[in-house]
Amino acid sequence: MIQYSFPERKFTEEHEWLLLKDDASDVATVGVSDFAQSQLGDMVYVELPEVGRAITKGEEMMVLESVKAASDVYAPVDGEVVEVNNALEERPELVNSSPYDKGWLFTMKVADVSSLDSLMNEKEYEKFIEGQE
Amino acid sequence: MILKISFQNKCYWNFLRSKSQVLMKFLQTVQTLTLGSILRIQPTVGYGSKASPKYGTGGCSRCFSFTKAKPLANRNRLCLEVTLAEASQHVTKFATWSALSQNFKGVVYHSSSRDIFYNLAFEDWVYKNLNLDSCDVLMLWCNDPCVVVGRHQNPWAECNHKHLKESRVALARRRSGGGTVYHDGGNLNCTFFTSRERYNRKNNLNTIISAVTNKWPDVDVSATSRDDIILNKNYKISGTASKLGRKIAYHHCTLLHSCDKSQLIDLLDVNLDGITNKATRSVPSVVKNLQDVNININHGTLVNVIAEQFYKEHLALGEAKIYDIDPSDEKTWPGIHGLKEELESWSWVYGKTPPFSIQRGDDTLSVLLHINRGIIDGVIVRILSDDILIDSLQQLSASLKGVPFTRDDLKSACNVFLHAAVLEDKKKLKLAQVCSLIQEALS
Repeated sequence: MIQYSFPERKFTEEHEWLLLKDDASDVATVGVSDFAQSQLGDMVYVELPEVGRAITKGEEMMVLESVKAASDVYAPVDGEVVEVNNALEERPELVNSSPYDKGWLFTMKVADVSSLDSLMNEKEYEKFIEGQE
Repeated sequence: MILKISFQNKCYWNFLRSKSQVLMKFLQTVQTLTLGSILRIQPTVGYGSKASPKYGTGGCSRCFSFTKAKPLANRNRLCLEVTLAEASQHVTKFATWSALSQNFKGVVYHSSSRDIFYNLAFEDWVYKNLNLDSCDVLMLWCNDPCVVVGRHQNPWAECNHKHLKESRVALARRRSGGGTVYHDGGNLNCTFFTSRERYNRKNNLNTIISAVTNKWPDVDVSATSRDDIILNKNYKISGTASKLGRKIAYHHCTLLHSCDKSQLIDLLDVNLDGITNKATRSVPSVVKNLQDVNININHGTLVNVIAEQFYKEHLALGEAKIYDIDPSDEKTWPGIHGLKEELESWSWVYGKTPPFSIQRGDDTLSVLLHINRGIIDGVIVRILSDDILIDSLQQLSASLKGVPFTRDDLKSACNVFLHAAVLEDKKKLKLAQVCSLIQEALS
């Protein structure tokens, strides 16, 4: 019998999400949560990070601009930027309309996949935002 | 008389929820006192709300209760709208009560520096160093003449560089979003530093509006949906921008009281022909000075009334006074010189420009320059000519790649190229023409 296991979307307290491409992979896609985009409002500019940049958990790594507000986005875990979503240069509003799909920000090679364990899963994150209200 | 008051921005959901019993009692008291009735109590909530308010009309104690609401768009912001009958003084009382009950401390700083880079560095310093969980900070400041572009703007597309250079006006890029503004001594800047949770631009603008209208009741100022402040419902006197981090946020805005409007117009008048841009664009507005409607409004009086209003809404951290600070004082603000240097650097002011291209010329000869991070990334020349210039043009393009997009760098790169080119006079003349067209990209 073959058992399938799907990677789970993980969340940070700074409202970034991270999803491994598949369970065997150490490459993850990163974006901001629906909660975050709804708080920020209409995106007007996405300042993407440089491909190949080494990132340390918690550091400021890119900026989202929405209705006159520039918001720092923080690195969810240690690793390296692999690819950025160039579509956001033309269509920053994808972060609003499709935060978990077309509005992804970048992909990264995760330095230590077990570091994802410390992040919240979807249920925990939902609880976390409820606690914030 | 029906008085409709929105308490939005005055207090916070968590606080309200925890104090809902007290609040209900208070509203009952208000009702008894005014002999009117509470017509409607409804949580006003933001995007994604799952609010389920219960409200009714008539007798108070039974008619409303607070149920769970999710003010998602405005986290931890007050979400209550109360419609009362004839209750003006009691409502004021309530607003004051809620503000004071929050027990938030506040302090007002006035910057002694008129250097835009030091003042922006001070904002940076606070953003990086202070914990504002229980205290808000208001900084009031003004600058010598300068143009300030937003975080993701293109200064070449936002201000007139020729005029900038001639009039020796500084150009700065701030860390917040939004559009380009002109500052001089006739413009007061207000920076509201709060925790990320307490970040609330409308609230801050209301502080300014209340300050102005309490002192000068005839002055008609109001906030717009874009968080500008307008005078006489038409003229912009204040523009807003903000910077949000994990724990801290700041919102700053300009306030024009007596700025040099002709200088503002000349400096922000830019020829956009041929520029293709992905950067954030400014929204041009018709501006006015507060002094145009009341001669008594100036830097000093505005600083005083805004500070006074701010202390009405906060418990003073120390004394309820304006503290003078000097952002260039490295001893008090360790590391601030470094922050200032970074803000002044070419790689920040110009180098942070999103990629853009600029075209010059006509059908017979045209050049297209691609610029990335303020550096020339590629030059495409289209030329109608019998001469075989392809090789030379490729060499020219290669020698310009990597040159910073400034008048001096472009000029010297072109001169070096022309000087080194070994060609017959006719071709050389044509190349000189191409080079001068390229330099026109900066005019």
